[in-house]
Amino acid sequence: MIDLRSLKSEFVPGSGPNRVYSEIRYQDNRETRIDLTNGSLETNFQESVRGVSARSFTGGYWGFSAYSNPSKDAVIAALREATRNAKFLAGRSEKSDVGIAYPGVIQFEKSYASTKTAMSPAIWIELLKALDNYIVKKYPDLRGRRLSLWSLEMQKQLATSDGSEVHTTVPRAFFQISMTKESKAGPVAFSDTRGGLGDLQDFFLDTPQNFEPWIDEIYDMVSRKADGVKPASGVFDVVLAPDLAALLMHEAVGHGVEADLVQAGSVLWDRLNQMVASPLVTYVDIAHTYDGTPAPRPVHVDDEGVEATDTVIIQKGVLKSFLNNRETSVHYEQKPTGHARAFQYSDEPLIRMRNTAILPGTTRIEQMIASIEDGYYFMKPGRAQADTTGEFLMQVGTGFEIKGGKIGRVLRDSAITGFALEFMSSISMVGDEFQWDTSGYSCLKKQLMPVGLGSPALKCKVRVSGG
Amino acid sequence: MEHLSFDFVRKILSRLQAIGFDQAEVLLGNEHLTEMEVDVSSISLLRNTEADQLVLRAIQGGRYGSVVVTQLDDSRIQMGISKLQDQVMSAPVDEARTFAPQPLVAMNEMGPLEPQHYAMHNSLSQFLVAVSEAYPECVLKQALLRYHRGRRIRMNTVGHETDTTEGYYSFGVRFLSKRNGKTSQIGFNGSCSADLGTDLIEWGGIRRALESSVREINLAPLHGRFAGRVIIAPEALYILMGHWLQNLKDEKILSGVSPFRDKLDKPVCSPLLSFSIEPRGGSFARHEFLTDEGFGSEPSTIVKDGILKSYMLSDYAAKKTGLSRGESSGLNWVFGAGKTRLPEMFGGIDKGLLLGRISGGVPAANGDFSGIAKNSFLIEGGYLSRPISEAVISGNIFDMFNSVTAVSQDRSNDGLALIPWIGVDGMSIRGR
Repeated sequence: MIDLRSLKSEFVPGSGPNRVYSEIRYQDNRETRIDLTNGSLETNFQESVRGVSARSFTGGYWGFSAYSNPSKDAVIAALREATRNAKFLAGRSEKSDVGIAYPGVIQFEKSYASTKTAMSPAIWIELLKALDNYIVKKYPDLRGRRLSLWSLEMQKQLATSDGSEVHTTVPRAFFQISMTKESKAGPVAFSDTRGGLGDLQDFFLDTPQNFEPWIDEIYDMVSRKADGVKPASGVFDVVLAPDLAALLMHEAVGHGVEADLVQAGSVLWDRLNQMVASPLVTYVDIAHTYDGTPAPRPVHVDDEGVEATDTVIIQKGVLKSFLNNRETSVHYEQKPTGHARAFQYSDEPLIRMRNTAILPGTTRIEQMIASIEDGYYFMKPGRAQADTTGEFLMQVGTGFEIKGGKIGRVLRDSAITGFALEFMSSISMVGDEFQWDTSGYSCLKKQLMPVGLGSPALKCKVRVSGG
Repeated sequence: MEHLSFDFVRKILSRLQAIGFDQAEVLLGNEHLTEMEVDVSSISLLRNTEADQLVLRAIQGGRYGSVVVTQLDDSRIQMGISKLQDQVMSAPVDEARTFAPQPLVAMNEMGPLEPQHYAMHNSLSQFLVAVSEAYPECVLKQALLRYHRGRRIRMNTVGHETDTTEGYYSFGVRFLSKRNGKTSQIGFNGSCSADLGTDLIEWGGIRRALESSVREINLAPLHGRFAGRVIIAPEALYILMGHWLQNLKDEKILSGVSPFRDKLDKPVCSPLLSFSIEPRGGSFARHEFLTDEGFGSEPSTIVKDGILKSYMLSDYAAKKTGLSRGESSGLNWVFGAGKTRLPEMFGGIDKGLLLGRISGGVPAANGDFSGIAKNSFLIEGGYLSRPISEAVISGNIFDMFNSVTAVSQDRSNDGLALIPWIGVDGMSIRGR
């Protein structure tokens, strides 16, 4: 830790056209990963990526500098270099659009660090080995198995030249079990992940026996999938399970309202205050608290020192706001609500989602399924990609046929495609049970970033890419 | 920077030896990055980062541990050593872990060793002008010109002492084109170079991608479904081949998912395909002197005329499986050139697709995949007819590389890979 307050005298804010905004940050990302693949300890590492950085803005240009050996001298060097970098660019060409927002000063401290004693890697390796032995003995017909534990605790300390001071610690931890089984059509795989806000000892410090029902469920799914069918191709009424709906909205819609991507030509750039979705859809980027409990990735103050508040992106189908940083909030004349986040100390803050969520509706999932004559219930998301046109493709790892309003056969791997606007407009039912995703998703946009994803089940139309 | 020395590393190794580990290894890395970013057609950010990383590894009684330290003061290093002791004690016995002996070449220094800020700014500014003059309908969304320098000092108790440094530049662009309210799809391209002597627009396939973007303005949805020949452009082939090659690497081989586990010296794809790795190839901007585990990197043939000649396994995975270790960690791909000129590859195609880029996920365990065809054109009557949108291409990646009909003479070099265009049959292409 470094006392950044003692370095505030190093800020040289200037005035008028020479005004310089700066921020200094100390960050420590502590990561643990253990992978047991077919009984071999493939990965066993603990890493602490620590360092300091500074970012400065003057004349419409940003400068940034970072060092991995945290010290007061390193902070001072980074701050001077960041300012020099911004001035280097400003000295080569003028910009007309040179403003950033100064939304107010905040002092904030919050830690979500575990209060339980951290366990040594030996404890976790023993747990994985015990579970692996259980799998091998009970399910010898599996072709492959992988058990993975990982955690990431991000500790950040920030000071800005306009007076904000922030210190936060946010951990998250996950456990994934993957199985591969042979089938007539080649190997099929299924995996499931549990975890969320907290550390490994908060979720998984338990006897091996208590994990066995979960393992049995995973084996059951991979076995049923091995005997599964390919879905037909075409446009179908479908029910999307919460995990899948949440990730699809994140990729196809959420990125499209990040103001830097809006400036880059997102399909939603000229749709503010217009209907872009079914009136059943209200889509919010939760800052830190939902329904009285912490969101999976709580952000109280962002990495520009801006207080994070909930951002209503879509309200009853109407696009209400983009996600901004200090710079784009001036451009779009919207209040900054704390979306600028950096993954590591050496990364500059980018506009990122925090905990995007479709708010729950009133329909039970059984009603949704019963309303479909010929369609699908898609459950487990695989990878998803979308571009600024909103066109998306999402892999689906698990699903079921729906025939005559009833769940039918299990599906093999498939994919769904479509466009964000068509997909959102087609949502005809919104489930009454909201769930946060527990897959440990990290989004990639120049940098990785842990995000929270939440949704109830949705009924909508999508294009299915089957056999 | 005074800590970047053999003496510093040797002292840490001595501390590990004093603890009594059977074997130990210390790897000290330093990475410098200077980045200039264009955001919506104007330069917006100059960023530089300096990062040290110390990796401590040890084996005792067949138990292996590895710890990363990013702060190099004595107390943090001591904490790292203590964690390493914990890890080694907690690890299961696994005789497959070993450390690399001294390679033939101990010292290497290549490429520019310092960033040239003024030259970077000039190159980037000239690029913006060149694009606006040659392709006025093209809108640059983001461009990243980066200078990278990496130095690694490795030392271990089996006699390994190496010190390698390399600097190079990379450039990536994201763009689209607009005319009369019509817009192309987003395009991406990028390349690497050892210097800034060549105009950025001429790096790798960047000019070709910009030209294609302008031609894509009049794109329209594809309707219906057909099975036809697909000509895969280098950028799409890089992605698809990357998925295929995963089946020759640690995770898929160790987990038993790969279909190539017992296929050495047997056919694994079309006899028209040959693929090799040239880690120190002169055609490339970057070079790999040592594998990730510290073995000397050597050129290797992975596939020769469709026959699998070597896996791309780490030493650990090789020992676990009884297969051979890869000769490198896989930097710098070389696809063998074919015999067909690119325009001739379109001839005879009644209805097909030129696949510029594919947006989608990773193939399923059995190789089935689908993706959206981006920056792609319909081929009709032997010629490119029009740019298309909303086309989903699907198939099986193993079948696809077994169904190659032609490989082009022309190859694109993006500084990391030398890749041709290939033609494949049997893909399903489905539109609206």
